[in-house]
Amino acid sequence: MLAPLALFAALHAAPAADAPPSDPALPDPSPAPPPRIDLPDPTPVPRATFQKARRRIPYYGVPRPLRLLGLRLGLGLGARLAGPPSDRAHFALDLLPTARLSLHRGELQAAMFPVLGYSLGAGKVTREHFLVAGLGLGGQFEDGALAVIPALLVGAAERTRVLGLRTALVLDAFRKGLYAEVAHQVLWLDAGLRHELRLVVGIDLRKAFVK
Amino acid sequence: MRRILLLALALGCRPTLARLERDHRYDEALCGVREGAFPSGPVLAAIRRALDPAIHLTVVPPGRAPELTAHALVRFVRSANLVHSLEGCTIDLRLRRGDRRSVFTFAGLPDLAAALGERLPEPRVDAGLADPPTEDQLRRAAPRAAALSDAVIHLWSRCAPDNLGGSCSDPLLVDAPAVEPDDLTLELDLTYRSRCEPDGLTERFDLPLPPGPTLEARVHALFGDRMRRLADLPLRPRAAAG
Repeated sequence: MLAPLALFAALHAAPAADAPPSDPALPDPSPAPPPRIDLPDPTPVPRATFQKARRRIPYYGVPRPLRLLGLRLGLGLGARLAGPPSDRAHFALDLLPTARLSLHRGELQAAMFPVLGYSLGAGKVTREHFLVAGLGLGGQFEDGALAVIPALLVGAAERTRVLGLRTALVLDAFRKGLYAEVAHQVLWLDAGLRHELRLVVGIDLRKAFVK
Repeated sequence: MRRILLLALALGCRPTLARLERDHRYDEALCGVREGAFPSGPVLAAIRRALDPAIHLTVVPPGRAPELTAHALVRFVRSANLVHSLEGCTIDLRLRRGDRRSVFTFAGLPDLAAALGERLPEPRVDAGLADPPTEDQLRRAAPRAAALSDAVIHLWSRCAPDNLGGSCSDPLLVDAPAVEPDDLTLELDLTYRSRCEPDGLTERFDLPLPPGPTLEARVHALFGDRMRRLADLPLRPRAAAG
């Protein structure tokens, strides 16, 4: 019973045969602690903390106002909602030079969206040719914009002169050169008011062809 | 309504440097420098006024570190106000004797060993990987440097994050010939960092040391036993190339 314990004690008491001998040429790495070099602390200067004033909108160091020009070509559908008889749905085309003019700096910028261009509506009966002139308001950031653009329509519908008003909600992914528009338009026809809904998707030709 | 109107006006208004300084918006002022809206000089001066940096140098008497014959041990203490709109501030020191510049290096084991002529073992490269020597190996190879390092390491104190606010100190090592020339100048480079200037903008100053027999005496004549605000020191602006 005691034999294993005796063997264990004998093994640990014996000097290790393969332990490396200490090298007398190397100095002892743990000499007596060296004398500390103490120096008197200088008289300090009182210190203060300065917080940045709150509720200030940064001006420098944030994106500058975006000012971009574009040429939108959009295709889609127009649908009569109410008013004098016409096609229930018709083809819609827009060719609209546009601009996006930010009013201030920031990640999200309020901007004006002027529009001036040509708009077509064509169906079995419908023949709409309009000059579109509008100025919208919205917000834009580095990659896109969302705007509501009211525009005056001047032109002809079914070969009679007509005035109209279009209110469009435009989602513009101008970094990708794409946009989508949902618009309501009202036309003052001789036969009465015609309300139409237009759904248009398109590309920005300037983005597509100008790098 | 009034608040909305003020907000709308503020969106388009370009703040002056005085306004930015009053609001402690130094980060924005540095952005303004980057955009070319402000010259750098007034902005850096405004930041320096806010930080109000103070420094103190003490040269360890040569008798207390007799092993060092061509170098001097220096304790460098600095402090500054805490300015939340800045991301960092550093003060770099050099000593200029005539046209020759000496850098201050941290008085750690590697630089002390080099100053004392002790050679540290190189990292061992094993299968393309560098295996640095252990601290024990370094101390065995440079026992005098290790002892001196132990004697001065307590002079180091950790700085506040980004060196803003509070006080901290470093033990430094610099060349020190037995006879110092009359033309002995401390060069200070102050670098301020912000989100627009992550590498920082630097302003450079010369601080001539008064005449005296030794570096220790000349530094003591300038700094005495108290921290000295940079605003109170006879700093001379130095051009970047100088």
